[in-house]
Amino acid sequence: MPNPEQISRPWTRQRSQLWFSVLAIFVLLAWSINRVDLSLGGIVEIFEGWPETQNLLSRMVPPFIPSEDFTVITKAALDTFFIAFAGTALGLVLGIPLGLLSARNIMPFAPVRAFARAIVVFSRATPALVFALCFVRLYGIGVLAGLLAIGIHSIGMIGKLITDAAEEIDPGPREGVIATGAGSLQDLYTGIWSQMVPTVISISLYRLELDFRSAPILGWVGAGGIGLILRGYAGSLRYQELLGITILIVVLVVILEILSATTRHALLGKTETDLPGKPGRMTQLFLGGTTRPGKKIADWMINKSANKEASESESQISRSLTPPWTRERIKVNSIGLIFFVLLIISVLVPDIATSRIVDGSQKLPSYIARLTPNDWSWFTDRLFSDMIDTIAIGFAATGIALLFAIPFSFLAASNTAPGRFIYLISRLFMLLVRCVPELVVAVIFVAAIGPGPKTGTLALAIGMFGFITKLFADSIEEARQGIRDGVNSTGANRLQESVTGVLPQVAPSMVSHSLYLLDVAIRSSTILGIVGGGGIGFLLMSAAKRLYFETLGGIIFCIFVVVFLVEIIATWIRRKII
Amino acid sequence: MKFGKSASSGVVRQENSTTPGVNAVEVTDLVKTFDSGKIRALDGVSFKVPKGQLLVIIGLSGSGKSTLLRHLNGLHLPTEGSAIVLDENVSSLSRKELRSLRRDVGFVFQQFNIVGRLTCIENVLSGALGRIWGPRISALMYSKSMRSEAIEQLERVGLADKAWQRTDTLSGGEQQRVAIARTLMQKPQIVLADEPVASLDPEISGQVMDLLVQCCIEDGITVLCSLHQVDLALGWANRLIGLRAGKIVLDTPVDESLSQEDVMVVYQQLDPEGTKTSEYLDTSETSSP
Ligand SMILES: Nc1ncnc2c1ncn2[C@@H]1O[C@H](COP(=O)(O)OP(=O)(O)O)[C@@H](O)[C@H]1O
Ligand SMILES: [Mg+2]
Repeated sequence: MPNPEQISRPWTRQRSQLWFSVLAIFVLLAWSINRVDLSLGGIVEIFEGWPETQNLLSRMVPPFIPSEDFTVITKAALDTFFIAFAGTALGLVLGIPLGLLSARNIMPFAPVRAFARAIVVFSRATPALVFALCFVRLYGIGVLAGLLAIGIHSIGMIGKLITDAAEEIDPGPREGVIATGAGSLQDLYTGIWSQMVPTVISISLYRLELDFRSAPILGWVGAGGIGLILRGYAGSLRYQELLGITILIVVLVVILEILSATTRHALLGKTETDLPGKPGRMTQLFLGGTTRPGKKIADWMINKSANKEASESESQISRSLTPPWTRERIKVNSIGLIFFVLLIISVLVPDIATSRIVDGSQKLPSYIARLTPNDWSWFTDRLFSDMIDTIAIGFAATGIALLFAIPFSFLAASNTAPGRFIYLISRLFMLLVRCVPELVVAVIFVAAIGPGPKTGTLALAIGMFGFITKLFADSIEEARQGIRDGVNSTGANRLQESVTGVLPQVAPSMVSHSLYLLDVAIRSSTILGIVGGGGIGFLLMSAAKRLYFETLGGIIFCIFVVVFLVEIIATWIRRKII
Repeated sequence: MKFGKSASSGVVRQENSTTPGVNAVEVTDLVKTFDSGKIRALDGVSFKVPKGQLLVIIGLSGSGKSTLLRHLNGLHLPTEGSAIVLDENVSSLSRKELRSLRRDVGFVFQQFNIVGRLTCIENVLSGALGRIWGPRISALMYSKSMRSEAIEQLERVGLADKAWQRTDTLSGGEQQRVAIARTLMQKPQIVLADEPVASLDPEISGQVMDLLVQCCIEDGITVLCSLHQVDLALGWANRLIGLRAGKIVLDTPVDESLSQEDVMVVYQQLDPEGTKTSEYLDTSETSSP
């Protein structure tokens, strides 16, 4: 007879902390679901209002793009592309140096590191749409404001990931370079940067994908591109056109996503193996499924044999003083050239007047001064309650997204899907959902169900669902087969096998991804109100419209504090759990 | 018990002059502690190496070989004592002076320490960075004469064919040869090699060691090489220094009078009172990087 202590696990301090956190999270979820009015009563209301919603939805079909607006729409779509592309480039240009300056193994002076880090943290915690809102006042309506908004916001993630990548490099080769008597810039390039290149490419493409998603909405606040048209149709209740533009946006995002994935594969398919060491926790989180050990090893082996063959056939020419034009080199160079040309086009075509840049930038210091509140009069009860709404929307959307994502991700993982067909359909569905920017969903939902936190939560939940299922499905695919076989051999059925063989393996990464999701959701919830989705965004928008600069600055400060706190708490819990 | 006693007196048979320009390396009472004094990696080491000498440092893993070599190009700074390399006191150099000293002192690492993503020629060319100003983003940014020099160095180590291949696609022995070519590219006066073949197969080890020594002799380079396999050293070394627990316990020229037994004193294990407890330890044990 085993005694009871052997049967039940002992209560360690860590275990009680864990359960306490779980309990706290559930309480918070229940509270937030209630707060955004999605508890039972709220859902019943949605169903009661269904005939009306259906009526509104039926006014959206068939989607339609008016031919007389065709040129305007094409121009706006191109502008959106330029904003995203040049904005990401700007983010890289500013974010990479800041990221390097905040790396401990590069910058020995702590004050410089702290300064660079502060800029990075601020850029990350402030949504691009908020920057756009501010820049429109400063640089005027148009592409420039959008480009700068994307660029400044991108600094945040790029800087953070670059710091991680730099701190993770193998110190050995760097020491080898230092030992030859190289100077600090030479060390930086040959010893550090050349090890980081694959990671930098990954980061850049990932950021580009994200920016392609956030650029279409910027026009809503006047920062150029297709969002302006979206707003025009939504404002004049032209629902068919609204859906038409939405579909156009989704199609564009899908195309760009596929292009980016192709580029990633072309550039990194082979070289992913030499991401220095294990990717860090943050890198893994941000890049999610892009680093997959199983695939990595396979690629590495293919790469080895491919290179051996190449070396034998090229032995005659390789004594030359210039690198041979191998297929690899041609490929890398042409991709580089294409990106360069695209960048030139993105900067030149939208016709950004230099005078505007100079003008706006000169006004920047006085503008910042005007945004800085002198007292607390801007901190109204309404603002406080909207801020609480914002947090509730973020939590509730995360909860709803997880509720659907956990089962669905098993269908979208090749090793747990009940069949090839279901797997492919699920992946396709996932790709589509992921390519609809959550703010665009919010625009449609606001049109169909009316404004408010409930609408915002549902829209955000859809966006978050698309985001998280991919991460989940990818980590399920990484689960080791061996353990599953062990469970299988006990005669377990498919469901038991998934639950016993796979879930324990992926649970830690799922938890950590979920915390990251919460982080992302809170960030988005701060801007949903701009399109009518509830939360602080509404006050933000109206303060900007009515030129209440102190209020605007105060709200930005609040957003920063909340997003920053959530990030710190999420990181803390993540560290406790893993 | 001949060597146990003579470690402090008789075995040190080496005679060196102190005139400037004659010695490549002069180490005096060098002490290095880690973790605020808890680990005493080097415990009063003194020796001089005349130019052109081929010196091998042997010792068990943890005896302080790497720590000693790393002091000679400023990768470590002494806790006490001094290291004078090419008539410069390493610990008193400014950053700039240290960089220019490093140009004259090549270092070959056990783990190769080359950048795997770069091509072989780019790794070799990085040996010339000390001679030029500013970073170089691609091999084509080095002058043509430097590139042909790099190809020549690769030729010497037998890898000119693979110049434009990524270095991480090469075998371990080949990667270390690239690292040797990089060091030769520096045109150093001294080469410090820290267990350069410890992570290679035995047969490959011999070849790579021969190559390193041959190139250094051709270029008149002084060599200080740490090894833990004595047999690899005896073939070509002029002189042998044995380290045990951070102290020199053997310092002798390599000639007919040197016997296997003389050398094995380095591997004797002593109990805390200094009496011999066992004959020798397993010398095939690999050292930690
Ligand atoms: N950076 C360091 N920090 C702390 N201890 C170190 C460090 N480097 C070396 N040591 C210690 O110094 C001693 C000598 O090490 P090392 O010079 O690497 O020996 P060897 O190269 O002969 O194997 C060892 O006890 C090692 O643990
Ligand atoms: Mg060592």
